Amino acid sequence: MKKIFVITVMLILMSGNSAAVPGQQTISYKGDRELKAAHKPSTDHSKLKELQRTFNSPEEVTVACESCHTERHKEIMATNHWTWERPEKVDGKLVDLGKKNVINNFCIALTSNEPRCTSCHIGYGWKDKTFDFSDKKKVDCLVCHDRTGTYKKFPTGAGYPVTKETLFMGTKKSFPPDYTKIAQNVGIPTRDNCGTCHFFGGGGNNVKHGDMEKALSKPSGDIDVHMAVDGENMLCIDCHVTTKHNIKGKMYSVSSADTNHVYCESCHAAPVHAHTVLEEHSQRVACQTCHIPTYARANPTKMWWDWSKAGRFDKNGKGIIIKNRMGEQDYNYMKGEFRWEKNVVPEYKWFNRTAGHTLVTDSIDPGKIVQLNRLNGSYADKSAKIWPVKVMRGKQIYDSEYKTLIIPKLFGKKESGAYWKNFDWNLAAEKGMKEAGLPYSGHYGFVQTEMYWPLNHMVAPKNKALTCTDCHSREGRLANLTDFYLPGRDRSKTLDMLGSILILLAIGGSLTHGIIRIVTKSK
Amino acid sequence: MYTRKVKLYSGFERFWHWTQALLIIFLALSGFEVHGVYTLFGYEKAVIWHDYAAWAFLVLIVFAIFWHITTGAWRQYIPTTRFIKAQLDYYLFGIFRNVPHPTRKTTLSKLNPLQRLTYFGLKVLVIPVQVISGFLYLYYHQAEQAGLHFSSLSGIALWHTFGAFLLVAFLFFHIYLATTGTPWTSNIKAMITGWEDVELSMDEVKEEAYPNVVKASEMGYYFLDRDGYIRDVNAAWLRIYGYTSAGEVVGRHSSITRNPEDAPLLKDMLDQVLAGEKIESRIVERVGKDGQQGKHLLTAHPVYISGEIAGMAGFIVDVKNKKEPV
Repeated sequence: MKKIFVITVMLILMSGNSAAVPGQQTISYKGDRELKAAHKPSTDHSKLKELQRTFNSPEEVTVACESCHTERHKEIMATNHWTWERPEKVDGKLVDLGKKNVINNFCIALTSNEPRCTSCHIGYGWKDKTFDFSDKKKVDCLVCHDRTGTYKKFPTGAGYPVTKETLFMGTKKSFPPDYTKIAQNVGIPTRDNCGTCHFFGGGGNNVKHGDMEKALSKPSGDIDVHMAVDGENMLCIDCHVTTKHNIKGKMYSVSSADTNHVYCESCHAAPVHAHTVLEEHSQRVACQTCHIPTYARANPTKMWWDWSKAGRFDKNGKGIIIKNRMGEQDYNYMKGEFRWEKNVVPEYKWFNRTAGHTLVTDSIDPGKIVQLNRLNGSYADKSAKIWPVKVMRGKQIYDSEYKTLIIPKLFGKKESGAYWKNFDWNLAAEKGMKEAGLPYSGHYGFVQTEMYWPLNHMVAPKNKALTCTDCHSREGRLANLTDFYLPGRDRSKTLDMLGSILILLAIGGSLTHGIIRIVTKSK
Repeated sequence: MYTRKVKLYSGFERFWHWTQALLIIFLALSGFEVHGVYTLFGYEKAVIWHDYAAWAFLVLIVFAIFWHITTGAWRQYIPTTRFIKAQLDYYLFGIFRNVPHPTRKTTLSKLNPLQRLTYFGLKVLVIPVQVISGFLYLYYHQAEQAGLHFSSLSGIALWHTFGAFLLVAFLFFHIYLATTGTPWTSNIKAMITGWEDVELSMDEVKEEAYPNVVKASEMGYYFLDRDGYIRDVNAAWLRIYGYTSAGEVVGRHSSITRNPEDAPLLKDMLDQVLAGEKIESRIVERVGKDGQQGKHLLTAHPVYISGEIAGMAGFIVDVKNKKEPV
């Protein structure tokens, strides 16, 4: 009999061990790729004769680059960084997505506003639709390869830097670049190179993404565990692996299919968690969900943009601008009303890594909130995972008769009909739609729209990751994701009530019985 | 009335009972934390330890099933309707009037009819539901990958919650009813030590008392075989005859207990009894150790072994010559 005890105890102990998983965390880099952050250039460009000269225009630099790197422009011209165009299938039909074609709820659309928007194009002179995408002189090598930190494209310059000292919006001063110095100091792109555009999407720091902003230039570990200057100090291109100038990664705001993407799992091979139950979460929960607990952790991001409120002036005829305590604008007469948030708790969506889009040619229902892009997926869709998302909300112009979204002409000279000079929506709509070759009824309204930005950056250190009860609780973060049973959150209220009554009856019944026993015995 | 210490619960049974008790309590505490009712261990630890405890419970169940089958103890749990009303009446009314328990605990039947029914239900319905739903819950993803299709975890989870409520309610009843023994700690002590004072039936009392009736009697007892040899005497017989140990007389012929002239009388009596007669009472003169003389009253009856008369036995009482003062 005693032997049976010993064996039982042993088996119980062993069973405990067998349910556990080897407790080691593994980060395995696939292949033997070294981090680009540690890259040492093989060429000292300051020693090249071709660069020991003065340059009168940025195109002259490009020609100099291409005199040695004779084929690179072909690679560049094949990338989305150049074309801003992506033919992709949305709901089964092939459409042209990409920055050039999609509608967003920030500055709405590129068409008719090029010189402003294309200040972030890796080319020179895309000021309207006549831009020649095959002209290799127009490739901007420096915006990505400048290592001096002095190369700046002017905000309204269609991709060109300034030729003389210039003020932007009466405040920010821009200087002509020292092309010789910059050309002699080129190197692989750093965080600042990528950030010069990607941190400032939407016209200001962290406006668009919420998880990409200037704090990532030199982030602390708490802001971004990968790029932390006191940690891994990784560069963007350490994850956004680049082959022939094709940089992996693309945003669902401008794309649809799950191709050419970067994944956490590309480096972090499973299993990455010490316990099976935790590891199993990765089947239905994206890494980002737990490891990006909040976004906009350093600086606020724009959450709401109401164009319908634009165009207010004070009694002196001066455009109204209202700033908040964070130093961000809550109102700008040119753009309307904004709401900013810092350290934002994401919204969570099922997402199978394909997205739909509402195109400018699509009919909309103005009675409903229009989803400019939609993340596809549900609990029932086994390929979908729960993702953290920044949802950008706002109101923007639409054609109230044709029931379509409108591309307004915002930027330009007064005589072009631009809204920012005339503050006339009807005129801006007419000019913008004409430029896009689309019909406009002459009647406009404002419709509420939403845009979904899955979060990927600002991965927090593991001790800052979400814990169980952030979701597994009655009012947790997944309170709105109701198409499945979540332990700790969900229950049958009826069953719980009946069960509680049963337990109370057991306790109450026993107590009553016991008291009667004691009373009757003592008689 | 009469009780006897009985080993009611074997070592394994007690180990099983208490391990199961601890596991069920722990599973309930951690399980309801996972259910979102309160914070106790912390959610992550509650989940992980709940899973370990589930495995431990499964192992324990496997051993318990083995034990029940090999020892036949499973028969204890066959439900019966006999006395079920009496047991209910007892809990509802009799217990308050100090009426004795309607059913008795024996090693062959440790459980009263209500216990049988309840435990049977637990073992056949509740625990299997808990184990199956629990492991499906735990290995939900694997089960799905293996081709089992659930529309959602909710069905599994609700069954598991349902079972948990039943078990917790049972637990409270069980703990309370454990105090209904006499004294109130007796059942609990028994489950700890294994021993319990079990009430004896009159037959059991008699069975236990009879062998001692002869040994402890103040009447002398003798047993002669067919040839008249002394085969057994009790302590009182030795005292009456003046002997100190049975070894002095057992195996010797009975004629040594008589004067030579009385020996034929003894022989006649033996013959009579061997023929099937009984001697109700007779006063005889005896010769004790070292020739001491005395008188005693005797009885005699034939002793049957396997249906044959194998000898003569009876009792003797010394008869004093001088009268006792009344």
